[in-house]
Amino acid sequence: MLKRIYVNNFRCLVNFEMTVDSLNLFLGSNGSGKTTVFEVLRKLQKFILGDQAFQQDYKVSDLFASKDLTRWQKSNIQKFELDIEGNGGIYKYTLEIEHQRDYAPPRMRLESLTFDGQPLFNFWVDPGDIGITVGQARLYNDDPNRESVYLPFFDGSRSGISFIYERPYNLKLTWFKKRISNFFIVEINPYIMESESLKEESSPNWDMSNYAAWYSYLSQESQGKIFKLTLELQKIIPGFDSFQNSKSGDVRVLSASFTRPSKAAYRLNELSHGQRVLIALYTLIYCSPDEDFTLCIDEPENFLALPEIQPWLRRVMDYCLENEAQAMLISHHPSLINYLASNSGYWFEREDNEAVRVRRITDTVEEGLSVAKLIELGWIYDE
Amino acid sequence: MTSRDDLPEVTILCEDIDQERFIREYLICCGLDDRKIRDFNNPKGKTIKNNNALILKHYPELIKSYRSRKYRNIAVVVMIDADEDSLEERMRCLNIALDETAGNLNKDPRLSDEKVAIFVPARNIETWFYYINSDRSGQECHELTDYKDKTMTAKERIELAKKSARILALEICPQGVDRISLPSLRYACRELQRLKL
Repeated sequence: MLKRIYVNNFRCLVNFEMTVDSLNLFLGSNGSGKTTVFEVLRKLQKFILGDQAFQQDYKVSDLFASKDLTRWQKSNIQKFELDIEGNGGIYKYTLEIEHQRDYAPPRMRLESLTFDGQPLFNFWVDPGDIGITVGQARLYNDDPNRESVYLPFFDGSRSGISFIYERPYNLKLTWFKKRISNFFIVEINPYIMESESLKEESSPNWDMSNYAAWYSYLSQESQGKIFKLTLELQKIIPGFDSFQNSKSGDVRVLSASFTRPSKAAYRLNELSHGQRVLIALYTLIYCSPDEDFTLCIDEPENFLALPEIQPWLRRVMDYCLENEAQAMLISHHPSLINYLASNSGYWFEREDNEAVRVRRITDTVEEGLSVAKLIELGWIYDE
Repeated sequence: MTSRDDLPEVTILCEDIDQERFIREYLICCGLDDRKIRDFNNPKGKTIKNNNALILKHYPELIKSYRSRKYRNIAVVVMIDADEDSLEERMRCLNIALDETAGNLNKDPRLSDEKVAIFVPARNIETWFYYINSDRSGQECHELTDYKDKTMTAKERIELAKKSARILALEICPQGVDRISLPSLRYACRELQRLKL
C-alpha cells in the first residue's frame, strides 16, 4: 500500500509530506489541497503507465504544465515521491520535473525507482560536452549482483519506467507498475455516466463516465465478481434483478433489469443519479483487484441517501481489512467523519492561502461534541 | 421460529467496533439481513477508550424515538462494558438514565413488549471472547479479569469478534442458555429473547 507521498512546488503543495494508512479520511475546508493530492496521484499514474485503454504514453508536457508550479515559489523544479509497501519490501519512486517556462516544454530531470534501497531504474541529466544536457538512463537487474543496462541518449520527455516491459530479470520493476495500475482514483459524476460502450476498458475514468466500458471488461474478465456485485445490488436497489450489456450495432448498451413492479429494463443513464452512484461505488469494491489495491474516492457520499452511507462504508472497511487493500476518501459528510475521523482522519489546512499542511486528527476527549460538529464550529484545532 | 421477512430491523448502540461486529454477526447467524442491522454510530469514533458515558447519553434518546414508532418492526440492542462495576450496577445506570424514578427504585423501565435488549459484558467484551473460545477447552474464565490483548490489530480484533459470535450462535446457545456458566453472557442470552427472533 501507499505509505508516504511527498510533493514540492505543485500548486498549493510545497514541501508537502504525508504518511497514510490502510483506511484514510481526508478532511479540511474547501481549497485546502485534498483533491490536489488525488490529482498528483492521478498524474503520476498516467505518467508511469500511460493510458492503457488508448495505448497512449504521456509526455511530460501532456501532464505537467508550468501553471501548476506553486505561484509564490521561484524554483522551476517540481518534485514527487511515492513510498509504496508491497512485494515484500518498500518501493521508492522519485520524479523531478524541470519547467522551462515559455522557452521549451518541461522535461524530466530525474526519475528513479528503488526497492528496499536497491536501484531498479534511474534516469538523470548529464551536462553534455557542448553545454547541451543529455538524458542518461540505467535499468538494473532484479539481482543486484548482475550488471545493469545503460540506456544512452534516453529521451527525458517521457517516463522511462513506462517503456519497460516485463522480462524475467525485471519483475520487481514490473510489479511496481502493476501496483500503480491498481490505484483507482475517482470522483463519480453520475451526470456523464454513459450507457454505451464501444470497447472494453480495464479501469474506470476519473469521473467514471466510462462505467459501461469498464463493465464490459469486467463481465468478460471477472464474471465471479460481477455475480457477487449483482447479488449485492439486488439487496440495495429495490426491484433490481441484473445487468444486460447487449450489442446494438457497433456499441454495447448497458441496462439494468428490474422485476418490480413489472419486468422492465432501463439504460444506465435512465436510472436516478443516486442509483448510478450506488452501482459505481459497489462496483469499485466488488470488482476491484483482489489485493494490493488503493481506492481513492472524492466525496463518495454525494448523491447517496443517508441510510446508504453506513453500509457502503462498512463494506469498504471490511474490504480493506480482509484484502490488505487501502482506501483514501475525501468527505465533508458527518456520517463518514464521525465514523472514521478519530481513527483515520487527516486534517488539511492552509493558513492565509499558503502551503498545505496536514496532521492526524486526534480527538481524545471522551465526552463533548462529535468530530463533525467540532469541524462545523471550526474547533477541530486551536490555532 | 420467526420467518426471515418478519425479523425486525435492529439498531445497535455500543461502545466500539468489536462490540458492533460481534452483535451484527450474531444477528446474521439468527437470520437477519446485514442491511437491516444499523449501527447507531458512536459520534466520537472508534478510538475513545471509555465510551460508557456516551452510551448512557444516547440510550434514553434512542428509546424515546423507538417508543414513538414501536408500531414498526424495529428493535434495539445496547451493549455497555461493566468494566470495574458489576452487571447490576451498569443496568441500574441505564435504567436511571431512561427513567430516573424507576431506576432509583431498582425497576427496569423497559416494557415487556419492547424489543430492547441490553448486553453488559463483565468485565468487558474480551471476557466473552475468552469464554466463548475456551468453552470446549475447559479453561476457567473470570469476570473480573481483563483479557484484552492490546497487541491485536484491528483486523484480528474484528475476526475474533465475528468468530466468537458464530460459535455463540451456532454452538453454545443451541445447547441451552442455562449451560452458559459466565453470568453476564447468560444474562445477555436471556435478554435476546426480548427481540423475538
